Amino acid sequence: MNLIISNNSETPIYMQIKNKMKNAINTNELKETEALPSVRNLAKDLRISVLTVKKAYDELEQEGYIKTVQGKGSFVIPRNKELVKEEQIKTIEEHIDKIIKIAKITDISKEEIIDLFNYLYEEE
Amino acid sequence: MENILEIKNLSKKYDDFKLENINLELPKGMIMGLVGENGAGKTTTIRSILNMINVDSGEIKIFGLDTKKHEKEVKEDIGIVLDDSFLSEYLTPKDINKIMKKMYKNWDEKIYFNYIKEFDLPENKISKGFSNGMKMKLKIAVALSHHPKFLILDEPTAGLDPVARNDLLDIFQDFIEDEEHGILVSSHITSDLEHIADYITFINKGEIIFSKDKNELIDNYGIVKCTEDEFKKIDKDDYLMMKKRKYEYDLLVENKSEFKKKYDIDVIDNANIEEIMVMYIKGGK
Amino acid sequence: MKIIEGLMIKDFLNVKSYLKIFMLTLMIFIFFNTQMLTIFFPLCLGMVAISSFNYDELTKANRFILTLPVNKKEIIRARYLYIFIMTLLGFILGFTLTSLIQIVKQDSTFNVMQNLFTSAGASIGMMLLQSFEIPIMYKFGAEKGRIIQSIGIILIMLTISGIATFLIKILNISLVTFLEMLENYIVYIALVIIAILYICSYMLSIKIYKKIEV
Repeated sequence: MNLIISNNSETPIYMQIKNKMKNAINTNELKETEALPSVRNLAKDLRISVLTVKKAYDELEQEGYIKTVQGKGSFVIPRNKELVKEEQIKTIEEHIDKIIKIAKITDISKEEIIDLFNYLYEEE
Repeated sequence: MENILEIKNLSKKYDDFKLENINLELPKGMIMGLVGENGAGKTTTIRSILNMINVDSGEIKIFGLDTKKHEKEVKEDIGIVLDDSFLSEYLTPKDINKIMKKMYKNWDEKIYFNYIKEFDLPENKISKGFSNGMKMKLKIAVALSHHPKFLILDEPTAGLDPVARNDLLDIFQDFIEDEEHGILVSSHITSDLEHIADYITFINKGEIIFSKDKNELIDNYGIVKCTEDEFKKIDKDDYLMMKKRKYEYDLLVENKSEFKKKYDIDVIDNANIEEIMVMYIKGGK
Repeated sequence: MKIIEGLMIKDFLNVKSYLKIFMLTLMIFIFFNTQMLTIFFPLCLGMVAISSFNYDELTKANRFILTLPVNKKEIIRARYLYIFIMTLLGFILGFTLTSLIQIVKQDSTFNVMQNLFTSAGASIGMMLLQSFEIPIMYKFGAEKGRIIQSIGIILIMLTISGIATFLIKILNISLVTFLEMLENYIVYIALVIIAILYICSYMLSIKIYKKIEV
């Protein structure tokens, strides 16, 4: 797994870790029940503080991605596929919200956006 | 979490300086950075912790033990680097081994000579001719060679070049891999601590301004840049410090996202430890 | 005890290389007045021992030492023991080396008792000085201590001569008879005085050092 952290990013470091981990879990790069690197190892390897990694792991745990067993480490929780999808839809909704806002400000019609969407979707 | 270091109500008065009501807690497994200007009280705090000065009041516990009552026991398990003091410049690293062997029950010559080798220090030369970096490395080798559980370092990065500083941070992180360990490190070079410290304690004019989880600082603190008109509308309770500049007002705020919600101001920058420090030292209300 | 040993080793290793040169320089006296060595050895070693204060001050070693598992009492004890042993070594070397050299040189002035006496005298003198010097060094530091110590020596001299004059007056005897009277007991008197002074000095140093913040 690659884990690249930027020290100059607007996004806090713990958030970057969290997002990267989530991504890795969602794309199955980190498989179900697989162990995450230990907090102290990861802190050392990334040259960041222990608490920063801990914060990322804590939030991942809260959001139901991983489970931390005292003295054993953190593991990826088997994911409920429905739940994952639901969450992704939520994210998509948020993005579409933004698109709509921009469109309204600049007077771009719904049709134009749908066209654009279709065009880009085919391209992918 | 158990604390490796606890300071309660520490005070010490000098003619021209006083350390006032210092309270600190450092949990096991963590690194705490003690920051502040030169003369702010970092070294006095460290000297109090080590029982080197007679404090006026206060209680200090290391590994949960009162440092006055269990002085020797505690000191067996701490490794110390002092900024301005060491055994002697007329001793070779080999001589130092002979001495330290008698000093610590757990002194481990194997580890010591490994460090000496790793740091490229000549075993048989007196340290008088060593560069600042080499002298510091020798102190660090000594501090690490008796299986300490707690490291206390006063300005260890001062006088080190960037590469040596980097090496030192690696050593810290190796050390802290053991959850039972802890590090208290003072520095006026905050960038060194910015990455690896878990807690930042900022001391100014003998008082602790804050002692916080570093993430909380970095992620939440911000510097608002606004015009005079905007500034006038801001409630005094909503910012910590203010500094008037030529073209703008800089405000240090404790929580930038909350501030953003309340006020309509465009520029809120992230604040690093150095900027927070400077705002506290130079700013006003 | 191990810690005291460690502190003494530190003081000794500090001057090790310096000491070698020192000894070799002293050996020049083999070719001149060998007798002088009986006095020079205890004097020089006693002085070198006191220089441990300067070495410590140079690198503020006492601060670092106090971070080790050692208490202030042990630091003082180690220092006294070190200075005492060095001075004793000065006495032994002064006496034995000088005698040996004189025997080898087939020196006509060779006299065992005289060597023993002068060497012991110099050592006792050195220790008398040290018992005042050490607390002063602890109180005022090595640099200031040196100046205060010189004033102190003059004061001690004046006090001693004062007491002597007083005794002579009271006993109503001449200086010569006074010294002759003392001669038989001087070694015992000196040893008792030194022992008392050393112990007082040690206790005073502990008292001073406990209050001092290094």
